Amino acid sequence: MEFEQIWQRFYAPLVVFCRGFRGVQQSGLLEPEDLAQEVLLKVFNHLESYDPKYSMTTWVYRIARNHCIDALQRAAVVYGRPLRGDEPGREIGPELMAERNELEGLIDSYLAGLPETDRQIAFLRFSEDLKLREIARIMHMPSGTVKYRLHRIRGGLQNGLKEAGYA
Amino acid sequence: MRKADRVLREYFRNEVERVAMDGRAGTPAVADRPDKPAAWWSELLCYAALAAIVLLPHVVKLPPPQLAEKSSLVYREYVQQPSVFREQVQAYINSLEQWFREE
Repeated sequence: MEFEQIWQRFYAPLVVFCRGFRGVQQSGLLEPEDLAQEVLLKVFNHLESYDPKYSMTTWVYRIARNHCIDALQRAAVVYGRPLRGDEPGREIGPELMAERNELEGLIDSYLAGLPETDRQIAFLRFSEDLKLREIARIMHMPSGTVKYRLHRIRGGLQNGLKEAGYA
Repeated sequence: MRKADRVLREYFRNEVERVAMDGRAGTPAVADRPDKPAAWWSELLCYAALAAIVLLPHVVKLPPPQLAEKSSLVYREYVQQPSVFREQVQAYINSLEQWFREE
């Protein structure tokens, strides 16, 4: 697979995935675009070690997740404050709200209130359409936990949609 | 739950599309990785250069310390007594020539 193909396939989804790390959103020190580029370079440079037994998508997201965690830990050491956190509470600016429709704003707020692990699971499931065991491999957790978390994510959103009159 | 699944899929699809539409989504120019033979040769070249630096003083014989000492004496005399400098230099050159001949 050529670099351009890998780039076209993964760059945009990786930016969204990297954005899901709370430390990336809050720190202002790490740009998701930069992280995605670094991940793709890493992928390209280690193509020889890719095991075709597993799907390319799973491999790329495993690298991406490890890379983001490492980058956040390095940044925390350099800047002397923790940049990771699983607590909810991201603020959504008025500009961002204005450019999205009401339903998107609702989902954005809902996802922002989730722990970062759940946001990543939601992304891998609903954007990349990965199977439970593939998500489990990327997230380093049992499939049962992924299933439980997905059920909770979907249930929570379903309730939110009902309350807002969408369902 | 199906509604939730559908809106999440749509939400993430829109997010990805927004990023893809962004100007930064253009593929960057990445230099090709060096092929393995080229890397092997450049590594060998580095080792050869290193070996040359280490072995050079053992292969090329340098003048003995007495001559090195003499060269500093010649310089001192040039500073103090420029008139006898030419004579001293000639003597020094002769001794060096003799040393090279003997070697």
